Amino acid sequence: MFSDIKFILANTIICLEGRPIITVRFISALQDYVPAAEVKVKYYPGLTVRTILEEYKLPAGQVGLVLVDQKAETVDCALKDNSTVELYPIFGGG
Amino acid sequence: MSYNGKILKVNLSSAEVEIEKKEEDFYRRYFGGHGIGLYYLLNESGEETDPLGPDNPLVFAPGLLTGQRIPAVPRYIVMAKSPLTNALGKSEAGGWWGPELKKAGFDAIVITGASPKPVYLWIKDGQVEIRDATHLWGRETGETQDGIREELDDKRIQVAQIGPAGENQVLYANIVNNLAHFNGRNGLGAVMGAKNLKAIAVRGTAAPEAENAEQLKEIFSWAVDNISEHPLGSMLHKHGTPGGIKTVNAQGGLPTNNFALGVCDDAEELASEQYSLKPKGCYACPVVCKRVVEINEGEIKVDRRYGGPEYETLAAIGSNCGISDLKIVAKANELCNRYTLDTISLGMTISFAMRCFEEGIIGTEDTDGLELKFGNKEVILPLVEKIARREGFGDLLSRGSRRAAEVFGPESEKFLVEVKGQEAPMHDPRIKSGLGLQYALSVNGADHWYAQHDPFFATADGFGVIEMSALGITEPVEPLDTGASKVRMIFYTSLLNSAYDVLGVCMFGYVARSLIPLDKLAAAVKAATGWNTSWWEMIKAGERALAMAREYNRRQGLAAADDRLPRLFYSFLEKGPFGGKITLEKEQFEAAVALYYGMAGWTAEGGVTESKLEELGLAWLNQ
Ligand code: SF4
Repeated sequence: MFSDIKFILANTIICLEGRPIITVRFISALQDYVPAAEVKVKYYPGLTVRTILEEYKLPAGQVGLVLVDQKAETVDCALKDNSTVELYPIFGGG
Repeated sequence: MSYNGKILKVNLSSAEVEIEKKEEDFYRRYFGGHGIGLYYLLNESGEETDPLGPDNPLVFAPGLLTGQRIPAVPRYIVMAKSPLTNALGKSEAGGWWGPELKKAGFDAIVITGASPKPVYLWIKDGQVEIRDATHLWGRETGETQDGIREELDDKRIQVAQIGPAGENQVLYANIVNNLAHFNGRNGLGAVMGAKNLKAIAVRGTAAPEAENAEQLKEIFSWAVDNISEHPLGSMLHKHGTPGGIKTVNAQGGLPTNNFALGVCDDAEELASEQYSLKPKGCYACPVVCKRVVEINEGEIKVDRRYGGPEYETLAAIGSNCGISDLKIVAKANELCNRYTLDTISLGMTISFAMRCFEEGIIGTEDTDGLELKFGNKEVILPLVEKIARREGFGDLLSRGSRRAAEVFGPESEKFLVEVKGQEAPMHDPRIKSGLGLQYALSVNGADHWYAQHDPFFATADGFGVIEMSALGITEPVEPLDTGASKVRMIFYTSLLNSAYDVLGVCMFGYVARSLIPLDKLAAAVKAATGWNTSWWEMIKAGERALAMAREYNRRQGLAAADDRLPRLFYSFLEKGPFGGKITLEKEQFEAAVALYYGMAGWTAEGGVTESKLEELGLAWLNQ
């Protein structure tokens, strides 16, 4: 299952036109840990945010807010094709 | 050993200095920080202490570990009765002053009386002098630090001091060391001002010897080797606390327009790192997370010596006043740091006045002609100046929002966001209920470090759950939950945070907020002190300090009714994901507070039960 996932930088999206794609945006500090602020991920049924985080070796605890199509979700929510995922770094304590 | 066995006592009225010797049993019971501070406050304060009178003892106390080469333990506490809250005043700072005091041979300073003229204390390697400060009175912090270092001819002197706002007894004036590290809250700078005490200059050359210095070195190297790899520690190092602005805004909890909105449309601008320089750190800390800002454009110049606006300031003076111009917020922050004003209470008092202005409760005839509309950035810098000097409308705002409401009239009260008279920090309990418990329960008014924060405990993957499982917190708890699991999490971590405070630990270096785990800290305590100790004893030391703090407040006339939230938190946010929904119910919240009392062994009146006092070795408080 893991090897089926394709992670593609934003500038290569053209190669995948017409296929179901998830857009993943890493917000502020999380950008330091990934190759680009926005990446496109090939969709397959059952794909979750957790799987994407694992691929990038980001601990789930480092993410404080997951927005899927502007709605707050957990890292385990199953994604739909063409969704946009926004990931924010955890924050608390001033 | 990690302590000197000496407490310095200074009576400013009689200009007498005394050194009190203490043995191991004293440190083993009270450790340091607020443990030692409360011991002296409880022994030396009357019941009706006037916060700005000579009989209000003022204590400076580094943590037990402060001064050792242990990563991220630079903290010291300042304590007295707070003129802002009329309750226990306590505020911690990092930086360099606390370690220097330990190296100079003292574990705390207890200051009583008031000097007839401005003075400063000069402490060098066990020697103490009360020096004239007439020539420094009225000077900003940068000038004062330079002046003291020059006249004593040593650039390595550490200076804890007040600027003009402290001298003028603004009720939320703070104390600064090294120009950028603040005992920020509770108006303790005004207590220094009332005592005519401009500064405490310290120079020391020998920290108490650790029992096992080799092991401390290993722990230090571990932190240095791991900081860049740790997910939370590395984010703090690279982006500091301002890195949180976008997250809190997207969550719908960024205080905006006096806590009305929860979302600031221009938060991106406030979060910009455009003017940030390389961050600075504190004594012996590899995290290096303190923001430094410099601006040299156009009319606004911001001097890097005074640090830079952290998350709390960006929100308090920025979004919460409807301001998104980073240059204005950075300049206001710099002015506050030159004058020693708490940026949280300052921003919150201005935002409260803005709301009252917008509602027509006050008008330009009250505000010296200033248009106090949300987003009017033209008023911010003039207001900082007026407040620091207590001029015109600034004099009223210098007393904080609760006293301003008494003048504005009862219709203004529903816009207050304070607990026990202290303005709330920049965390909205309507998106994380644990913050509400922290604000209500904290002895010193709304405080955001009474316990750990909900987001780290929201899922089983959360760093809070992973790291605090060692303390028995093994299950995640929803941010909005107010049931027993949430109360237990807040109870256990309030004991932990209190233990951190007696040790001198900085929250930004340790779990759950950062990288250093509990087992390494316990090892450091053993290596520094040589004690056969464990987290059990340290948690009990934290619990003991909290119980003493409750007893102090009880003696000053506070009761359970003071552990409440402002009514605004029971109304809904107007924007964002939680907009239009009530997320905090008064009845449920008050039940959660009562449950915490039960867990803590407190009485329904808010004091501490006799059996709990006995258990903690505090029966002497009843004698
Ligand atoms: S973590 Fe940051 S604030 Fe804390 S001691 Fe280190 S540099 Fe100072």
